[in-house]
Parts: sequence; C-alpha cells; structure tokens
Amino acid sequence: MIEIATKHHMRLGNDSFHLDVDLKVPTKDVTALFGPSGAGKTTLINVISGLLKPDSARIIIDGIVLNDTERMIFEPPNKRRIGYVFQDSRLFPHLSVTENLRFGQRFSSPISSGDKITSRRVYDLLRLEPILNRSVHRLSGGEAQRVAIGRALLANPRLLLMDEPLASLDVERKAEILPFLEEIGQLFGIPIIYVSHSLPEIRRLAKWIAVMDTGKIGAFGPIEQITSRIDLAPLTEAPGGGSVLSADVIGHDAKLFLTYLECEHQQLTVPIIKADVGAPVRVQVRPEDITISLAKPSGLSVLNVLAGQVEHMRDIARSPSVDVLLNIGDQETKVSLWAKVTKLAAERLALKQGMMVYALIKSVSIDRTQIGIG
Amino acid sequence: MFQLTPAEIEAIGLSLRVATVSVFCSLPFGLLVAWLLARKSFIGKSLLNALVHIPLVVPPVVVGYLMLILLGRQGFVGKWLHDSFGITFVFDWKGAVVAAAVVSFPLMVRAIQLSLETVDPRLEEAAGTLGATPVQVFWTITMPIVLPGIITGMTLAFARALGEFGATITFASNIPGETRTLPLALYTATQTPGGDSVAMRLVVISVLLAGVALLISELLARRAHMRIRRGYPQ
Repeated sequence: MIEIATKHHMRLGNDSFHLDVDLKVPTKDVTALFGPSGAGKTTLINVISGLLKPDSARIIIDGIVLNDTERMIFEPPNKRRIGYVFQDSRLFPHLSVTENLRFGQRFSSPISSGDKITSRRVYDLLRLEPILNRSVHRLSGGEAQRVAIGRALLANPRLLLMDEPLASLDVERKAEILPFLEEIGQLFGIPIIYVSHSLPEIRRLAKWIAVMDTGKIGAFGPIEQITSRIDLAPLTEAPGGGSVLSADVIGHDAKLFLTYLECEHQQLTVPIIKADVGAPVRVQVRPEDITISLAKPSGLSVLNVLAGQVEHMRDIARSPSVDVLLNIGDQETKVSLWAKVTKLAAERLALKQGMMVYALIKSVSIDRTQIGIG
Repeated sequence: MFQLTPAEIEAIGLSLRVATVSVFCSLPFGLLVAWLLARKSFIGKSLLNALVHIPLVVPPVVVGYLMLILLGRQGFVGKWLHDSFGITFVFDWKGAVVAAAVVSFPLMVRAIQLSLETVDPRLEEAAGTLGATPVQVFWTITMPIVLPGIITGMTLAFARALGEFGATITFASNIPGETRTLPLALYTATQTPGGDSVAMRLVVISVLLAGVALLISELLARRAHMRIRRGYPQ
C-alpha cells in the first residue's frame, strides 16, 4: 500500500494554491492521476518523489517511511528509489544513450539476479537495442521518451511516477509508446502512478483512477466505477468518453482474428488481442457505438448482445440525443455502460428507468487501442 | 633577431609562471563566486556582483594602488600577513600573481557564470531521482556540462594575466627576475635608449604566447564540447 497524505500551500503570483491530499494506492497496477491542468497533479507527484518539500506530508510505501513531517523524516529524492519519467525526457545531453540508461545503476544498489528488472529485459521491452549507440541529440521524441523510461526502470525503483509522458508526442508516437507502458506493469510488477489528462490513455493503461481538481482528490476507485459515476461526469467527460468494461479473456479464434471475453457472465467478442486466456482486460466502449433493443435480436450481424437494465437517463439540452446509463451486471455488482441514442428513438421505445433492455455493440467498432491488458 | 637574452627568457618564464599560478589559485574562488551568482539568491548579491566586476571597469593602476594600501607591508591585511605568516607581496613574484589574479578574476567568473546558467536545473532533478546525491549530481551532470565554460574562463583569465601591467607595476613594482613580467620588460625596453629591437622581439613573443594559449583552449573546449552540443533532444 502506498499511503500519501500531504498538505502544501503555494503562492503563485497573486494566486495561491492549496494541495490537500489523502490517498491510498495499491502497490501494484497502474493508478492514474487524472484532472484538468492546474489541478495539482504534478505538484502531488513532486511531493511523492521528494523534489518538492511540502508543508506537511506522510508518505509511506509498504511500511517504508519516506516522509513524515511529524517525526521530522524527509528522505531526499536520491534515497527514495522512486523512478520519475518527466513530460520532457530530460536525457543528459553530455552522455550517450547507453550512459543515460546506466546512469541510475551507478548509484543504486546493483540489481540482483533475483530481480525482475535486467538490462536485457528492459532493452527488449523498449526496443532500445537499435538506438543504443546513437547520440541523444539524434533521437526522435518517442525514442527519447523510451530511453527516459528505460533509464528510470534500470535504477530499480520501488515506484514509478510518470508525468504525462506522452503529452509532448504526436498521435503516431503516442501509439508507438502506449504498448510499452502497458507491458511495464505486467512484466516488472512495479506500481505506477500515471499523470494524465487524457482519458483514452488512462482507460487503456490504468486499473485505478484518482480524479483530482483544485488540489484535492475528488474520487478514487477502479476506473470502470469512476467513469460511470454520474456525479463525476463533468470531470471525467463521461459519458462522452465512454465506459470501461472489465472482462477476462476466455479464448481466441486465430482463424477469424477474434478474441472472446467474459464480462459479468456475458460474452463479448472483440478483434484479436495478444493476451493469455484468463488475463484481465479493460474494454472501452463509446456510447455512440451502442444500439439499444427491447427484444433479444435475431437476424442481425451484431455479435455482442448484453442484457441490462436502464439505470438512469439524462437529457441533453438542445441536442437530438439522450444519454442512457445501463447496468449490465446484477443489482449488487453494478457494471455500468453509457449509451447514446436519439430522443426520438428513446420515445419510440418508451425507455424508462428500470426497463430491461439489450445493448448491442458491433465487434468491429472496438479497435485494438480501446482494449487495455492487465 | 631571435637570439633571446637571458633577461628576456627570464621575463617569459616569469610571465608564464605568474599567469599559470594566478589562474589556478583563483579557479576555486571563481567557481564558488560564479556558482553563487548563477544559482543562489541572497542579500548582497548585487554588491558581490559589483565587487567582482570592479577590476574590469577601474583602471588597473587604481586596482594596484588599492592593493598596495590593503596588502602592502604597512597595509591593513598585508601587515598581518607579514607578521603572522611572513608573507610579503610587494617586490615579490607572489605580488605579481595576486595582481594578475585580481585583474583577471571578473573574466573568469563571467565565463563560468554564463555557462552555469545554461545548465538546466531540471536535469539535476532528474539525476537526483535516479539516486545521485547532490555532490554526485555536481560531478556527473553539472561539472561536465559547465566544463567548456570553465576552460574558456581559464583561458581568458590566463591571457589577461599575461598582459597585466598597471596593477603589477603599481603593487609589486618592476624588479628583474622577480616581478618584471613580459609587459613590464617591454615597457622597460621602450624606456631604454636603443631598446627598440628588444621591444620588437618581446612584442612578437607576447603575440605568439597569447595565440598559443587561445589555440590550446580552443582545442580543449572543442573536445569538451563534442559531447555537449547545445540543445536537447526535442
């Protein structure tokens, strides 16, 4: 468990900013720190890393106290063993790529053979081999960021902080790095706190999400719960950004290029992904990709038919559509799915809260980037 | 024409010795002051800045005279140094070193300060999160990036020390073999009837020495620069 409790007051010109956070994060998986710019996300991870000494803080990772103002404990950043991947890669300009990668090993205790992080595995994962001999000045933005991630990993951290590592990259470079990020957590078992204001990125990578606004944590929980919470919709951009379904891989069909998932005892068919049978995955579903049907359809091409109940309906002023929140789990385990249909359709179907309906999702409407593994 | 007299050889040797010793003695102070000016904010920072730069704007003779008042045998500090440690500067080659060091100090500080200001403190933060202590960060990140600036500063100071005249003659006087450096020997030659050919030779030597110093520093700085080209990967 990573316990973070901190208070900090900052003056920025005429404004003042108050950070007041009390958060407990699991020591595995990716936790996203999400919020608008100016919410204090970077300030918070600077406090965690020790780059910022706050007015008061209690930061404990698995029982190891890194900062406790009451007990006058403040470990400097170099003693915390917390990796930090910055938005700008911050590679050292006077060192080669290899020297950058090995920089942390000069100071940290050497990685023992029992450790999961080895140069070989990191180089393989991040495809660093072809660029090892390149000058850092000749790296593209994406390559520089891969080196920065490798450098942080090779210092053998107990926690990895990532501050919008993809924000400075264009769409193509983002797509290039995302799969690497996805694998880090699975391969090395290091907890990651991932700062971002991009929900698609977070849905893909994170299992947990802390929503931050004006220096405070507004909500924390599993991502599929938080994105379906109606009260948080203005912050999480839901339903516009869609919902996340947690599912398990139950099989693949290599001939048809399909993967079968199970979500709340219902089957979901998606384009094939590289994941073991039994592996947990998260599927993002866009509200406009969902068709609502009153009866179980037949004679339709659609593969995914999920039974559910209308939980909530929200009219959108001056728009032809209405947002419908469906619960496709049972009463206790609520699994929420946002759908968007026209008001006309909702009227014709006489949709009402509590009605049993079917949500239809075309498999081809879900592409690989919408599925997060692990 | 290039048959050097023993006196001339002595002047060249003395000049090189004075300039070299002055550069290396002022280097630690130069680093410290440049660091303070580039990185720290404290009360009296502009005062320190002004103090360091005074020798650059005041006539060297004035600097020499002030040093005479302060460090001369009857001077406030000079008397104490003489009585406690037996150190005298006046009429002594060490005096020429001090004069050269003071006058060339602002050039050294400026070069180092400018190059320190180009070091991104965020790189040092990054090194900290990778496990390096502040001292290790200094030696592995800051120092290598600042090195070309230090070399430039040392060269400028060396060249300035080689050419130092006013403060030296005022403070340390013009004694053959002790404080008569190249410029002083040149000045003496011009004051001696028939010294024109001597003066000419010393002029050529002065130009050559300064040229060689600049060349060596250029080569060193370029080697250090090879790895630290400006700009970061975008």
